[in-house]
Amino acid sequence: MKLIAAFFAAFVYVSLTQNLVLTGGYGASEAIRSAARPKQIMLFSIMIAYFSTVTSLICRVVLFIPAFKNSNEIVSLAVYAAVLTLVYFVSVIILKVLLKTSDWSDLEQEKFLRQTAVASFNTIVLAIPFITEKATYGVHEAIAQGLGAGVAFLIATVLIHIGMRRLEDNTEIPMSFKGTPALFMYIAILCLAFTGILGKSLFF
Amino acid sequence: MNNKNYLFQEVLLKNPVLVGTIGLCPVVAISTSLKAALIMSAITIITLIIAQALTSLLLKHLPQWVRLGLYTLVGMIVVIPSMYIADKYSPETMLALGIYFPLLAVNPLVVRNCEREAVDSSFGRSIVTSICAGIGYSAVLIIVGIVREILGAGTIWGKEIKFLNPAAAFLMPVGGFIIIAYLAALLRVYFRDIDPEFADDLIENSRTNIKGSRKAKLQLKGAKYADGSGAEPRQKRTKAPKKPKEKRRPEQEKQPKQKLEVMTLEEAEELRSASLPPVETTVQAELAPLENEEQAEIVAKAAESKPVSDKTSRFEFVTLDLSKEAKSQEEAERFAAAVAANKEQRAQRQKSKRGQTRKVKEEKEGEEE
Repeated sequence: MKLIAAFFAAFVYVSLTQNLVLTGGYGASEAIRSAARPKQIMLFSIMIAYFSTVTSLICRVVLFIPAFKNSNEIVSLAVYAAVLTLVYFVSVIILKVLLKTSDWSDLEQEKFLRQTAVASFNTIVLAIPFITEKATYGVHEAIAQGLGAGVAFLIATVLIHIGMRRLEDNTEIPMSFKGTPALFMYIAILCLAFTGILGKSLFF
Repeated sequence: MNNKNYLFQEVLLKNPVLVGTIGLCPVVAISTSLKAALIMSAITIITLIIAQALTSLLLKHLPQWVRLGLYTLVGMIVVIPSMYIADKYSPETMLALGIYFPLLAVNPLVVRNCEREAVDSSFGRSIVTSICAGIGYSAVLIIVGIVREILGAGTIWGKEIKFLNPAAAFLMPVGGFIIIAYLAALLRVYFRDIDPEFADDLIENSRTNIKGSRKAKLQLKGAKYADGSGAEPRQKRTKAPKKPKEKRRPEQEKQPKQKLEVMTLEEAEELRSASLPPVETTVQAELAPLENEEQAEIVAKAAESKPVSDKTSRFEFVTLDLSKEAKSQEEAERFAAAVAANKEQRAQRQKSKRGQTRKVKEEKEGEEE
């Protein structure tokens, strides 16, 4: 029961309270680009959830090995990046086998694999093992972190997408701020909201 | 193109952060001081050069999915020694950067540049593009770093500025986004002075525009994206009464297909002003001012049957096949002639507009002299 409670606490904290995209800026550019393509939001978020969960889990298990237990950030980076690359290659090989049996054209398959790469080599995915290590989370919390990262990305992307739609319809935005600058401002306001939820002070 | 123009294009027109919205995490999260910004700039430029050089020499022979996986390893090769150096010579910076430092290994700017530039270009050219992209990215990083250090910490290169009351918000991603929003807006103002049309295109073709059916619908509705004045408020659609389908005559079917080029926004506006059937008749409520109702119906049907592509901009034309619906060839020819005449008018207007802007610039320069 304690494990389940800890799992859900970590999941809710990462996905809702400490939204990694909006309070940490992790994967911000991917979130903006994904928000501009509403049809891909769900798929991309699932991919991020998958890669962050699997990577986080494997990295947490690796930390049980005594040699890596008290390693510094340099060793951690080498291990985590290697694990992420390995997870990516294994996943892509499995996907390629599966896609061979599908009706997708070569171009569609290539596009899908490209998306997979963008989703895997992402700051939000690589950040999860580091956060897990810093917070000394257990295996179940590491899984919750990974899943929470996917949900956090989905929430951020949907919020950004809604903002984009509103900004497109808004005629009162000054010409110089129309488009990207207005969107950056909107994301800043979202960040402000989530920083408030997290309880951080904006002034010293 | 000379070197100066090329550098200008790569650094400002194709700025990865302010125009391309790429690599935002390091900008909004890590560049909280000038020192951190300089470290990150150096790492990014070195990573870009090595990755692009490797791609143009070796990696381009590999399949794309393999290449994409190897860029992180290249990033790791650069970031690990830099972490080691930073840890030895500036441990406080290393501490300040925290877990963001190792995340530089997965900078999306490296992947984008390698895939767009290095794969199809020679070794020398890929080195030049990597340096240019690195300069553009570093410029933003350094400016953001300086501003955030002043406003957020009240210091510059570690030295305290006494008359400032720093706000911690500027050291958070909130501050980063606000500063890059102002920088992007400044870039727009700069472009507007040089070339107003390009500034409009920047808004139109921005990566932050929603790609999908909604944008296409808005464009067909006549939303004023092309002239940059914003979209019109949404209108409720009113359903037109359905008419019974007429059987086609066999002669009509034998007629050769005629494809007409119809512009989405501006030409539609101009067509309306020239008392010709407007293009945005897909919105059924707007059919009233047309002279010929049958013609309007043809245009509406044709426009509905052919969806506008995601990439439709004001430079692209929507090709509508009107041959099936057109009742006579004359009608189609009249339409084509009108569009051609309209194109000419538009070209003339653009020429005169450019001439006017030149004159104004010359006058300004004269006054200054």
